[in-house]
Amino acid sequence: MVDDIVSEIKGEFESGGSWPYEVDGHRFRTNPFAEKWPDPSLFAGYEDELRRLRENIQRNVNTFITGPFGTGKTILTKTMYEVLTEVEEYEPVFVAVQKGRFSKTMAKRILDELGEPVDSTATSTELYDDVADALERRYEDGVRTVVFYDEVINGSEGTLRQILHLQRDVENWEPVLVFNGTAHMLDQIHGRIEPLSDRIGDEITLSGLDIDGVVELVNKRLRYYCRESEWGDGDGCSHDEGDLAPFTREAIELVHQDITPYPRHIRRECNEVIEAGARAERDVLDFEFVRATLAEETSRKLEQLSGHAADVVAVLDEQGPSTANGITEALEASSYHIQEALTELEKEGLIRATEGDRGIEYKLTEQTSRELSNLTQS
Amino acid sequence: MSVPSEAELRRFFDDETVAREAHRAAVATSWLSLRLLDHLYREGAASTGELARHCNLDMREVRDRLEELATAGIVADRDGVWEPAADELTVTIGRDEGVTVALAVGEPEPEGAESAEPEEEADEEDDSGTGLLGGTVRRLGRLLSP
Repeated sequence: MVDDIVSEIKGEFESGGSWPYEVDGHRFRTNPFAEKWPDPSLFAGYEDELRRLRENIQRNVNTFITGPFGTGKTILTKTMYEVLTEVEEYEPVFVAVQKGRFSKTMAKRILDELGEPVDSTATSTELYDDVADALERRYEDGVRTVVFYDEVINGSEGTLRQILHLQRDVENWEPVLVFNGTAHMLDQIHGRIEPLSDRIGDEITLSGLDIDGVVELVNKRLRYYCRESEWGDGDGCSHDEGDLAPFTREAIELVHQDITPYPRHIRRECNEVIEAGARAERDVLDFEFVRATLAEETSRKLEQLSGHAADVVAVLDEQGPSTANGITEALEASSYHIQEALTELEKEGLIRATEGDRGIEYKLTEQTSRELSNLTQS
Repeated sequence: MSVPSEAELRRFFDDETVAREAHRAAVATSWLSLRLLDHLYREGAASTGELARHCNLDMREVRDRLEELATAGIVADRDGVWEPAADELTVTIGRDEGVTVALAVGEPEPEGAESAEPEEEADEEDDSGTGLLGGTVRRLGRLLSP
């Protein structure tokens, strides 16, 4: 008896709780939206941005990819990196920038990716020279190296200088550098590292997916995790044709309407809805189910709000859409704390950021407004 | 943009038929419905999401109203895409002992049909209608998009 319970609990741990989930010719062993990015092939939307990055790389234009957290900067750069690994005359390098200066680890990673020997006793400067030599040799051999720096936000100004100097220190050669960071980081480069700022040739800003991008993202996730689809090594299912089962398109459109449509937010919201669907053993996750799930979650999240987040919601409820500055002034609080609260509320799907006349404006989602009204009445 | 419920109208008119027709007419000619119908007439069939995005409305509000319009036989859901059930809606307000209201979905009948008994028209679910306010929706449609 005890063994049965232990085995059952172990199974629940392994499957994530309410899984496997089987619906109308589809079978999911785990929640398709639980993992961050298991595969770059799940990249969706941002077609224009991907093409622009391709053109920049071909034209040797350094590019800074910017956008708020969760907009899909990393998956975009990772996708391009994967594409270039399959093109003969290119040698891409993907480097995750770490906190602090241009560290030994980062240099070692570059050498490692280039298949160069790494001297573990070498100093930081020696490693840096090895990197420059390796890049120069490739240039002479007709190989174009593209270095992708991920999460530049982690780097200090020193790191940025060193990254940018790498280009200067490789003689007669312009490696293509692709940076991934927030707009704040780009401002820092323009403001404080002025002599080097002209080396950034283009900025690609990601601002979220349109409905077609969201539908594509959701379909790819479902197709990737469905054991019946061709991607899942099954005989094939409607996911291979772009189907969204168990979701209806209308349900996904409601999710898209309610949150800032960044890939990370879409994934998180779909994660919660499909989890609830699996728990309730629903065959279809339609408009009404998503509506009820979102209402329940919003109500729970609102009741748990405290501190600055609660104040921000109150201001937006009273005054309507507002910029971060407007909210900061209304609450007479520090802009740092307000920005933190806004990021948190946006992640939770309680507010939505949109491009307004005065810059980025935040407003309550329709669901939040409704639940606030219900809470007030009750 | 709320429309009085059928129960409220029943209390007001004290007549089930008039209340039902008045509710249908109110739903059909409310500002929200006219915006949705205007889009459907102009652009053709559309999903709830498309209508919400084009009219800058909340999907829940749009969905609820489309369902009301579908119940009234004014639009139809075809596999997740909404279509107008007819090109014309005719609202008739007539006089009997009190007011009579009738909403007809479809082409309005010829002028001669005006002489029909209002009570009978009110009992018809569809395909009947007269010209007292015939074309109201069409004219309001023009106001929406001059």
